Amino acid sequence: MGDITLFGLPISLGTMLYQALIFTILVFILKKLVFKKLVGVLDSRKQHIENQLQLTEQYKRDAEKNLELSSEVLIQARKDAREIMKHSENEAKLILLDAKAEAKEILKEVKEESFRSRSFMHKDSKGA
Amino acid sequence: MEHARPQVVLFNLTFDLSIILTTTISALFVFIIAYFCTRNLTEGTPKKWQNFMEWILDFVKDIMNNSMGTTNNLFILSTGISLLMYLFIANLLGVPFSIITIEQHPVSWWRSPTADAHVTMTLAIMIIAYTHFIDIRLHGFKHFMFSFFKPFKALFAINILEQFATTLTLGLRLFGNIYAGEVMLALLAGAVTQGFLVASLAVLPMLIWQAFCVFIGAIQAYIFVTLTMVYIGHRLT
Repeated sequence: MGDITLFGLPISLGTMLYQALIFTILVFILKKLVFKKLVGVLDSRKQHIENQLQLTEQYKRDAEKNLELSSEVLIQARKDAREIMKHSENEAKLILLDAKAEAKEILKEVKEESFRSRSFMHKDSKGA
Repeated sequence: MEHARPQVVLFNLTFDLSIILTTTISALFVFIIAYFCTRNLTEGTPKKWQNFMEWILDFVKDIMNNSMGTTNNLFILSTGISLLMYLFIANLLGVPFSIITIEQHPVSWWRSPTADAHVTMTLAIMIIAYTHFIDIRLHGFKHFMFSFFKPFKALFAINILEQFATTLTLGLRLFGNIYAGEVMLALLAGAVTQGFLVASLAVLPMLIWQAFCVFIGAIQAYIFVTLTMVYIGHRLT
């Protein structure tokens, strides 16, 4: 039983038409309701991951730059510290020398003064 | 072994009710699975069901990329995914059981729709017609007509024959595989009528054959989709 026979094979056209119809409807409904959204979600996720990767790359570059900068600052600070230390040592030496010289002077003065006063006393006692 | 089909005639067209029943059910299955798997879509980490659909999509996209290069044609992609899911479910419908009513003569109501050449040939004809349509739309009708005379004019007959052959093989390969599986299943199931001993001997082969039918169903759905993509890819380049 069929609508047409091809080489003796009965073919029911209605079944074929129904089959074609239902599959076409299925494809179009799924395309519209499911796959458009799904492909969109996949694409946007891909985009999101790409953005994220780019961002990490940028952050990495920033971090490297910052590290370089901070290490430079550190080296500069060490150098400065060494210089300051040297400077202050020198100053301290100078102050020490100064102080010694002053002390010597004061000692000399004191000695002189004491000598003078003793000679005065001598004169006085002689005179008295 | 051969059962009658429940056929009705409407508008001078014959409709096979069992095929209409099973194709509708498999189409509904595909729709329900696809729709409910993608109800709550997230751009972040996908949930279990969304992951499943994304896996199928990636699978079909891989087949597409292998046969026609990277394309973003949503229609071809959705055709491929629908075909894969539809054929897989249609191939599986007849594996667990079949329903046959007996009134005056046995009528088979439930079997794989793809075990009927009407279904597979319709899909094959649709796909080959779609490839011709693509060719005409992309390169024009003139190029399409001239493509039958390439590389030599003498090959015209062979080129025409090739189109019929691809259609026929595409449809009949699927039909033959599923039909043979069903016939074997029916034979094994028929052992039940032969007494307890024969039936218990047939249980193990039946289980193995059912598992094999599931495997065949998956493979044939994959092959059908791959060939579809290859035929479309031929026309795109």
